[in-house]
Amino acid sequence: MSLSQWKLDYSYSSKNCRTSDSNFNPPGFYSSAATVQHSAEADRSADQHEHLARKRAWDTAMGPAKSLPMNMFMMYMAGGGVSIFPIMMVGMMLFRPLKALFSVNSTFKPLESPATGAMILHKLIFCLGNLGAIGLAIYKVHTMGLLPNTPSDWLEFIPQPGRAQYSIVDEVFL
Amino acid sequence: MRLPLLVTITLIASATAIFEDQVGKFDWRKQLIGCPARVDFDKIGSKSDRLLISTEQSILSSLVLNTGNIGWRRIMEDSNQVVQPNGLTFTKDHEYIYSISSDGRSIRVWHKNNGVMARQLTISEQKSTIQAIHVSNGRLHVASGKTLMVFRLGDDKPLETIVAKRERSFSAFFQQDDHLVHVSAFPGDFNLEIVKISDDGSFETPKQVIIDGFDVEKCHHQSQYISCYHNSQLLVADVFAQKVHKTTLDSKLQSISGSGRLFLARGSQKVHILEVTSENGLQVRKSIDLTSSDTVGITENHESIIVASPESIRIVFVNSGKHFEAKREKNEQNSRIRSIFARKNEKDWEIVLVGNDCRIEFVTVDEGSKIVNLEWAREESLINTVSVEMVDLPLSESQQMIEDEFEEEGQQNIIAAFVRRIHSQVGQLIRQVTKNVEKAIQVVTSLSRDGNGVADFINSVRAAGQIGSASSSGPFERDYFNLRKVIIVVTSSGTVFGIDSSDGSYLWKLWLGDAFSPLESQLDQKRVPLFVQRTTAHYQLDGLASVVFSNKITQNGVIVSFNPMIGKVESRNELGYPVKRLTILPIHNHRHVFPVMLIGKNDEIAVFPSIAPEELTPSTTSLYLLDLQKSSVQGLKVDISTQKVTPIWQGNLGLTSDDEIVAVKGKSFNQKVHSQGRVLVTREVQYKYINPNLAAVATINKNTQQLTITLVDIVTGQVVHSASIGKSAKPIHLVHSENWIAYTYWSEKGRRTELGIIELYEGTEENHTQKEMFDSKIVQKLPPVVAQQSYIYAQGVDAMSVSETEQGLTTRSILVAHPSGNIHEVSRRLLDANRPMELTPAMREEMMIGYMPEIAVATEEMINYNQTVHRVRGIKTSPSGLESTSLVLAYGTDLFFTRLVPSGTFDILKDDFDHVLISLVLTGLVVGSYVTKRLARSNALASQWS
Repeated sequence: MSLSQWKLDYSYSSKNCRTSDSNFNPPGFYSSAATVQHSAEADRSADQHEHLARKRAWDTAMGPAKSLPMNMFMMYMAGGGVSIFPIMMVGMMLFRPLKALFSVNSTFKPLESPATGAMILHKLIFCLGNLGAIGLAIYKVHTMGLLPNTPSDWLEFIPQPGRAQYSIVDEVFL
Repeated sequence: MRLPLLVTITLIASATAIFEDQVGKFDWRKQLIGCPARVDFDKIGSKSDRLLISTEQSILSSLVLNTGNIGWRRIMEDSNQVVQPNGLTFTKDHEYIYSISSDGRSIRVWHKNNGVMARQLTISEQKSTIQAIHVSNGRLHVASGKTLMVFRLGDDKPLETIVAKRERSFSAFFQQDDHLVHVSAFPGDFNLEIVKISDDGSFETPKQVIIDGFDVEKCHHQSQYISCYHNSQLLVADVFAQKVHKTTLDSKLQSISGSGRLFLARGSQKVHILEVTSENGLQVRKSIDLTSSDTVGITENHESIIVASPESIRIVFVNSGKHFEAKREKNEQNSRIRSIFARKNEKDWEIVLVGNDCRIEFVTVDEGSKIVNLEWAREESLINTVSVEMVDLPLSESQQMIEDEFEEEGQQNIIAAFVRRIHSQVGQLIRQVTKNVEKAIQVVTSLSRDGNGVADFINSVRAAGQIGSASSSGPFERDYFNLRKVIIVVTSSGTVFGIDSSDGSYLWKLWLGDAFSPLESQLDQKRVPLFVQRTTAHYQLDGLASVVFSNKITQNGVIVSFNPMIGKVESRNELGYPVKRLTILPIHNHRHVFPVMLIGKNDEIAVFPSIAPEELTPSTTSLYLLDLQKSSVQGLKVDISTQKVTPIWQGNLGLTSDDEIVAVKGKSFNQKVHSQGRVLVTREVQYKYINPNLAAVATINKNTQQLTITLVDIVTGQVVHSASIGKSAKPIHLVHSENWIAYTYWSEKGRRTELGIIELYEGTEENHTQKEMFDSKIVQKLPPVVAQQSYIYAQGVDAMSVSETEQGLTTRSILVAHPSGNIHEVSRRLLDANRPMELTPAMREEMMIGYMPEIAVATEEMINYNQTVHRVRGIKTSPSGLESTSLVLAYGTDLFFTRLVPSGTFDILKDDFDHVLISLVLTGLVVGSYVTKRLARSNALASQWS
């Protein structure tokens, strides 16, 4: 359910409702006054709402990118040692953006409104931010030496070369 | 006083590297005494009978007569590992044994009952093998080399000394009543010099007696006589009467022995028993007909003659005409008897038979029943072990079924294959079920027998688990991890043994015949090469192994092939020429046999079994050999199909005539190198230079004392690297494996043993090209990068070897045997040519070890913990089915077998891992959770009702 579909019906009143009986209202409360005020500000509120929705959408889109410096700092602080905490941190940093990437649409669904439109740009920026975070995590894994990207990592798979000639070192008798 | 003692004892106990409960679990040691040269019957106290044995390997020992176990054993120094046919010279009185040790330079006095050394006296600075010792009248008389000495017992200073001008060729003491004389001879003349020793211990002036044709080799001395033979003539000289008796017998004599007044003069057909009496002089008392396989001996009391053959023992009484024969159990694999030592006690004859194969047999012969009882036997030829191989046991029945399943793959259609698979798997299932049922029955029966506590139950389950893995009681088949093997041991005495590696028991023995003689290598070592030609991997075919030796008479090469599992001889071939060099070929024929190629003196080539030309591959049609002569080095090419030997290259490798070759080491052709490089701290790779055709030659220069290690490519003759170490001396040991060479030498400069290592690398990425084949003929762009390092090693080295694992993945360890009897395991991580001088944090992170000049010798790195192994001559390592585990047999005076885990047991649970407890706890938890679930549910129901 999106925000645009959700409305308060101020005009509704009924005999059964206790609020219709003004005797029960607290002192100084006038239900009609509120209604008046609302109708007076209705136009301005619609504007503000649109603005807010757009702002929220941008906030969501920029979120991952904004957290990048902090992630960098955390990674720096985590150190290069291969131990449980740095590994856990790097793992989190890798998996959170990945998860976010898979749920781009559902992240932006609640923000959808006529004001924000299709939010292609937002989504793109969101994705880029997350990709940046992933890249950062991968870089971290690389600096930790966990990526198999050097010849030394594939060393054990090199087969032993065969022999073109056979030679013998033996003892000589006589 | 007691407290420090207690502390010391606890410290000693904790200084073992393996856990206490692992002692003897997978290691065993066989203590040997060597080939007996002299056996004395002896008694300690009133009842404990012992045998005092001095052996050719200069070991003095005391065996318990009833069991044949070693009471005590003392190993003398053995400078050149020379076999001494007469053993140690020793004499004894009621409490002590007096022996001449360290090549005739000192006397040692031993307590008879426990072998503890009481005293040591120095007699001479010079080495000599001509020795005699005698103890009487509270004095000890010694002759060694030129010196003749008298000591008062308990004194360290000699009473009197005579030094002769020349080295003696014969020396002996004779005693009659209270008179004592020393008789000696000098090489080159027939004079016997007789020195009387007077009652106060002083020497009288020497007298000369001439014996015609006196030859030390053909003479024997006993109580007061010297007896010599010459063709059919027998001379007996009475030392005290100074009279020579002569007699001529009807046949040519071969040997002379005797005791007391009796002489046994052996001809080819019969033995004459002669006696010297004051009235009649030398007279023949008896003649006994013999065959060539008979051996003659005499009892200690000179009453009966013992004639032993492989089938029977004859006992002939000297004084009466009586004789009887007792049958022996004949064994083809035991050799002829070499010497007999016997005595007669009240009931029976006690006879020690020593074979040509150094087998000591103790038998008793009872006159009434005429039965030969074999009390015990010891196989002492193992002290001369020269070649060792470890062979896998045959596949077990279930493993065979698996092999069966894949045997005819591709020949039948898919349904037939499926049916076969189902069939074999059902078979495996049935086997498994029956095995488990058997085990369960066993547990139940043992449970009902042992009791009914929980502890009893756990123990019996554990015991049942061990029965399955226990080796000695199990069937003769391969175990799950292939840890149990048959160790084939070949000795230079002419015996081959199959030994079960699980407990060291003998499976079979093979006697190679009386004509056996080991091959003599150029480095003056006795060799009997052993080759495993076919392992037991092909279950339809039996294994095949061969030994090569030479015929003692013709000097021709002999090759004997046998089944390594049961020791049955398959074939025996004698060549028409002596063997010069020999090797196993790297290709197998259609029957999966790797042939052995023998090259004769004049480059004749014989291949056993023969190999068809079409079975040769292009790379194996010719073999390359390194031919090291004194001054020149040659590379030879052997063409197997045309059977021709052609020289390829010639040179001197920079060796001069002063250089003496001390060791040549190549690599075996099935060595596996798992990792082709070494990872640097920068995560770059330094690729190993693994040249399978590389030979390491160690030479030492007599003048400059320079040790040179030359690495030469056999195919091309290219010197890959050469390293020189100044001021070094023997002993030099060399190990060549993968891309490195480790060596030890005595450094004259530092006056210590040093351990060096050379590693060869091709360099980092840019210098390396991925190769399918290593071809020595393709010239390398750059010479290999060499890293080398030396370390101080605070122990002497007797033998050196390297661990061997199945895939070559485990870090190798170097095994170093110390003269003190330890075997030290040095990890390659410590003996590394790339240990950095300065450790950076990055290096520390990679757990590199910084350079330290000394390799520490820690007691927990001794693989033989407190099981001392003396005079180790070689260490054989062999891979097991587990990558982490290498099997090790060290041989020398003792045999020691153990499992070695150079990087820990990373592929198997620790052997104290408690399967039973874990499974009990697990089942307990599962059951508990179910029970509590039910309880909780009923509780919840009850609470809802209330």
